[in-house]
Amino acid sequence: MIFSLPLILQHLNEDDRAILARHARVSNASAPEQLAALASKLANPAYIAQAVGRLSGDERQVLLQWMTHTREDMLIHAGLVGAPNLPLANKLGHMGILYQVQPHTKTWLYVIPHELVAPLFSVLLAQSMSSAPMAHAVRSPRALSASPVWWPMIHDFFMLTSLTRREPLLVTQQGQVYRRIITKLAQKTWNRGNVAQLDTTLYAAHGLGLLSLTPYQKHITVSSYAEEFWTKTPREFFGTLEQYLASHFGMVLQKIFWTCAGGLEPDQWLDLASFHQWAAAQNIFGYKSYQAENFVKFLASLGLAEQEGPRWRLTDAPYWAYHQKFEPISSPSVVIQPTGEVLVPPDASYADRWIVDSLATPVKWDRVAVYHIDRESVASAVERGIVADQYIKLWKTVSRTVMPSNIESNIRDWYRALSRHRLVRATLIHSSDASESSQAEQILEKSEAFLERLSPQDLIIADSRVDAVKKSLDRAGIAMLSTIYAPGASHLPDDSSLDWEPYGESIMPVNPPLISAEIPTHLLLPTMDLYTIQRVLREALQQNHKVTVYFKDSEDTQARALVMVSGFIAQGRLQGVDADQKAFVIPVHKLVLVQPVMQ
Amino acid sequence: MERLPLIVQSDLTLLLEVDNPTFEEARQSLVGFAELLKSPEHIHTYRITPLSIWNAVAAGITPDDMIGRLTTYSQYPVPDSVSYFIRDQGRRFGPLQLRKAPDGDGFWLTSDDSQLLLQVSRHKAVVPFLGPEMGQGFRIRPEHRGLIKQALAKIGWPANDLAGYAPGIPMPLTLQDISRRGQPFRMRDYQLDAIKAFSASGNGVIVLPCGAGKTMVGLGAMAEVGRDTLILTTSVAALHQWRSEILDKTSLGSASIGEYSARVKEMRPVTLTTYQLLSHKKGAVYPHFDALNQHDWGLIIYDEVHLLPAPVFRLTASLQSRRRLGLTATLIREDGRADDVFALIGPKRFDMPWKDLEQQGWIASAQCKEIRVALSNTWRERYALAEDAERIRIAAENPAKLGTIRELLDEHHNDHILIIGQYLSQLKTIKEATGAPVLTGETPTAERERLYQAFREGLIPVLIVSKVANFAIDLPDANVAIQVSGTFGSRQEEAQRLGRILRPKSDGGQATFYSIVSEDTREQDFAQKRQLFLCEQGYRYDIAHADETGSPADSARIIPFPRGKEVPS
Repeated sequence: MIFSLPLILQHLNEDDRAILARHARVSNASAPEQLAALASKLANPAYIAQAVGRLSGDERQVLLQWMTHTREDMLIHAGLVGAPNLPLANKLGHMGILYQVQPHTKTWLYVIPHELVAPLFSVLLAQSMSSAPMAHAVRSPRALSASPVWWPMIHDFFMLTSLTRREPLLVTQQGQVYRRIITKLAQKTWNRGNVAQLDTTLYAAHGLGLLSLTPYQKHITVSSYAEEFWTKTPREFFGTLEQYLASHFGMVLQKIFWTCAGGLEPDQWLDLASFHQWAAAQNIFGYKSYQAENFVKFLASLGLAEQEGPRWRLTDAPYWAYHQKFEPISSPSVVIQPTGEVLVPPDASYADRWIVDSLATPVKWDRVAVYHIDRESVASAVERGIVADQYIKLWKTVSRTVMPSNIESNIRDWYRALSRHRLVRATLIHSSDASESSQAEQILEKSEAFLERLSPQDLIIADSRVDAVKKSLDRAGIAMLSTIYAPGASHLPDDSSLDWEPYGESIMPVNPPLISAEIPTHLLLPTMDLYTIQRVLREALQQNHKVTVYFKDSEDTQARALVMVSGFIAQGRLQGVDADQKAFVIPVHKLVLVQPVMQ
Repeated sequence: MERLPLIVQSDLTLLLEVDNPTFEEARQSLVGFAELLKSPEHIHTYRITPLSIWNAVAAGITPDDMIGRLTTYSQYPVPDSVSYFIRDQGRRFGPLQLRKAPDGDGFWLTSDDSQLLLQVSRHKAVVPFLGPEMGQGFRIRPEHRGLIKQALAKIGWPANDLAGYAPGIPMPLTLQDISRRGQPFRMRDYQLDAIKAFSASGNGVIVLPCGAGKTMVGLGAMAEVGRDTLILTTSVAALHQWRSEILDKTSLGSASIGEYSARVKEMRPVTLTTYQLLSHKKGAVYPHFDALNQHDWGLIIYDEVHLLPAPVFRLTASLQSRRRLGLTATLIREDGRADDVFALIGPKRFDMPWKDLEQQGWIASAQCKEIRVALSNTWRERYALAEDAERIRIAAENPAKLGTIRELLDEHHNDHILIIGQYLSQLKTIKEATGAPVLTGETPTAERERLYQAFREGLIPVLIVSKVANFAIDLPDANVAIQVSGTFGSRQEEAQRLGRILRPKSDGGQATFYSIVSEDTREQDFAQKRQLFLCEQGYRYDIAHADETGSPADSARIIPFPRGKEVPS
C-alpha cells in the first residue's frame, strides 16, 4: 500500500497536526483548507530542502539508506531504523517527513508519504548526481514551457473512457479486447493507428481504475470511479499517475527516475548507460537494470517519455509537472456555436470536458475536441432522467458563451418530441378464447403486474413480473408453458405435425429444474470468474465428484441450480449431463457458482 | 502572455477565434492557403486541402510561408503531420508544366523531374491523354489539354498550364462613370481586387454572395481583357438581365450584343446564351456549342458556375485555350463536382465572406427566422397516414401557414416582400388569400419582366415566386423573404434565396428571411440542414412557434404523456 500525505494528515490527531502546523508555519490545521495548505507546504520541495538541510551529513546518509533499502511502498521496518536512530526518526517526524503506522496490533512501521519521496531523493542524491553527470551530450529544445492540460496521454485516456461509456468493449473469453476493436480504437488515438500504444493505454486506464470488466466479463466499460477521476486538476492527475507508476514498478525506481529526469535542464536528455552505472553505485536495494529498461519502455509507450537510442527524457507534460509549472486552466471555457457544434479548447478543465462528453455527441477528439448537440444527445439525456431545464443549465455552467437561442429552441423541441412516446416492454397473455382470457383477467385484476386488456383474447402484463403472474395463475388453476413466444408464433403445432427427430447432435438444451430457492443473496452476483469455474469443474470431475451449478438470467431475482454429473466448457457454454441424465447447455455468462458435491 | 487566435488541428482544420484582438490579421493571413468552411458567431473553421495549397503555391506563397503564418498565430505548436502535409502538397504544384509544343503542334507536358514524368506517365488515368514522348516530356493534343489537367489534378500532381490563351478578336469596351439610367457608377474596391486576381491568370472563379455585384466583376473582366466574350447564363431571364447591365454600364451598344437563344441566334462581339442551349445534343453532336465554338472568343464567362451542368463540363474541357471566368455565390455543388470546376474553369481566385461585405455595408445585414407551425389534428392525421413521398407535400401545404403569412404581411406592411414556394397549388392558394401576383415558370417572359419592374419600382409590395426566381434575377428592393416550401436541405438553394434580399437597402435597413415549416414533420427535420448552413455562414437564426391557426405561440404544443397507467419500471 502506498501512503499519501493528505490521507495521513487526515488520520493524525489534533495535537500531532498542531505540532506539524507549528513547524511548517501553517495556522489552524484543523480546517479542511488549512489541511490542504499544510499538505502543500510539507510536500513543497523548498521546504523539504530546507528541512533536510538542518540534518547532519550522517543523518542524511542514514535517511538515504532507509529510503533505498526499504520496501517499495516506503514502509520502513522498525528494525531498519533501530534504537540508535530513534532521535533522527523523531526529528523527521516533527518535520512532517516520517510517520508511524500500525498495520497490526503489535507491529509498528515507519512511512514516508509518496509525495515527499521525489523531493527527498532530489536533495539527498544531489551531491552524488552532480559528481556523476548523467546528462547526454545532445540537447534539444522543448516545444512547451508548461505542462499542458490536454496532451496525448490524457487525450487517449479521455477517448477511451468516453467511448466505453457509450459502447463497452467486447472482450474474448480470455479477457482480451477483440483485435478488430483495438485496431479501430487506435485510429482515434492522438498518434493515429499506434496499436501498441493503445494497448498500453488500455492497460494503464484499467490500472488507474478508469475501466472495469462488466459482471459477466463480456465487456470492458467505464468504471464508476471515472466520474470522480475527471474532476481532478492536472496537478492531482500527476499525483495519481505517479502513485500508479510507483505501485506498478516500485516507488524507488519511479521516484529516482523522476528525480534524475526531472532535475535535468529542459533541453537535456538522460544518458541511460550513465544512469545505470550511477544507480548501481548507489547500491539501491533490488535495483535491476532490466527493470529500469522496462520502465522506460512503458513510459515511452504511454507518451510520458521520449527515447532516442541511448538517451531518454520525460515529455513536456510530466517534465513541467515535476517543476510544478502548469498551463492555467480556463473554466468555463466551452464554446457553443449556433450550428450546435460544441468546441472544447485544450485548456478546458477535465471536469467541464467530462460534463460536455455526457451531454453531447462526440464528433472528434483533437486539440480542440468537437461535439454536437443533436437529437441523439438530448435522447440520451432524457433516458438519464435529465429534464430540459437541467440540461440547459448544465450547458450554461460550462459554456463561456451565451447559449444561442436557436439551439435552446431546438433542445426544447427535441425534449418535447422525445417525451411524447415511450417504448414499453410488456408481455401478452394470449388465451384460446375470450372467456379464458376473462377468467385470467379476474385473477390478475388486482395484481400490479396486470397492465391492460389489449383484445378479447389478450392481456398485457409487465415484462418484469412474468414469474409472479405465472405463479398467481398456477395457484388459481391456470397452467401455462414457460416459453415466451415471439409475436405470431404462439400457436402450438398439432400432435400429428410434431417431429420427434433429435435436434442437432446429442446435446439438447433443457430448462433445468429449480432445486434451491434458498441460495444466499450474495450468490446472485457472479462470485466466480470463468477461470475459477473451469478450475473447480476440472478438479471436481477429475475426482468423480458431482457439481452443483448455480445459474441465473439477468432478469431472474434468484439463482437456479442443477446437479451436473459430467460436462465441459466450450464456445462460451457449459454443456453437460445432469443427475437425471438429461443434457443441458448453459451460456457461461449465466453461471453464478459451481460447487463440488461432497460424497 | 496574450492568447493567440488560432488552433491547428491534426486533421488539417484550423479554428480561428473571432473574439481575439489579432483575429482580423490572422484571417487575412490564412485566406491565401486555407478554405473557409464555416464562419459562425464565435469560432471560424478553415481547412487546408491539396487544392488550397496548390492555389496558394500558384499565387506565390511557399510552403514555408504557410507554416510560418500558422506558427505566428497558433496558440499551440503546429502538429508535425500538418507541416508535413503542407510541404508535401506544396511541392506537387509546379514541377509538371503544360507548355506550347516547341514545334507548334499542340502542347507539351514537361518537367525537370524525369522520375516524376515517368511516374505520372504510368498512371492509368493519365495514359489515354499522353501523346508520344517529346524530349523531356510528352506531346499533348489540343483537345486533351483540359482532360490531361483534370486527370493530373485527380492523381495529385496538378500541371501548371503555361500554354497561354488564344488572343480572341479585339473588342474595345470601357465602363461608364454615369450609367445610362443616370446613376453614378464606380467599381467597388473588392470588385477591382477580384478583377485583378482573375486578370493575373486569365482563368478562375470569383466567389461573391448575391447582391455583391458579380455581374459588375464580369463587366470589369470584359473591359480588362478587351476581346470578344461569350457569356453563359442559367436562363433567358438572366440573359436579358446581363444584356441590360452591359447596355447600362458599358460603352457597348445593342448592335454589339447578341442573344443566342431558342428564339434568336445572333452572334456578336458579346454573345449571351444559356447552359441549356449550349448542352443541347442532336445525335452525337452539340450543334449550338459547335456553332459558338467556331468564333474566336477571347473570354468566356460562366455565370452561376455552381450550376454548370455535367455536359458543359465535358464541353469546357475543349475550351482550355480561352480565358475562362466563373462567377458564383457558392462553390458548393450538391453533386460534389467542385474539383472539376477547379480543374476546368480554374482555381478560386477571389472569395469574400458574406459577413465581411455585410460589415462593410455592401450587402444588407440579414436575420433568419424559422417559424414552426403546428398541424391541425385533421392534417396531423392526414400526415401520419400518408405515404412518405406525400408527407413532404402535406407538410409543405399545411393551411396553417396561411395564417402565419398573414401575420407576417401585417407586421411588414411597409416592406417589399417575396414569398417563395415550391408548389404551384400552394402559391395559387397564397395568391387567393393575399391578392399578391404570382410569378412561376409558366409566366410569359414579357409578363415576368413587367412584374419584376413593378416590384422594383415599388408598385407591387408583395410578389409570390416559384423556384424560377431562385437564380439570376435582380430584385433590389426586396427586404423580406418568406419561404413557405422548398427543396429543403439544398444549401445552394438557401444561398440563392437568401441572396434575393441581401442587396443593400436604400434606407440601410435590415433584411429578414423567414422560413415557415410544419412542426414535427420531416419538413422540420430538413429545416435543420438549412439552419446549420445559415448558422455556418454566420447568420443569426431564431426559432419561433405558431399554433394550428398560424398565430404566434410561446412554445410548441405540448401533448402530455398519457397518465392512465404508470409505465412499469
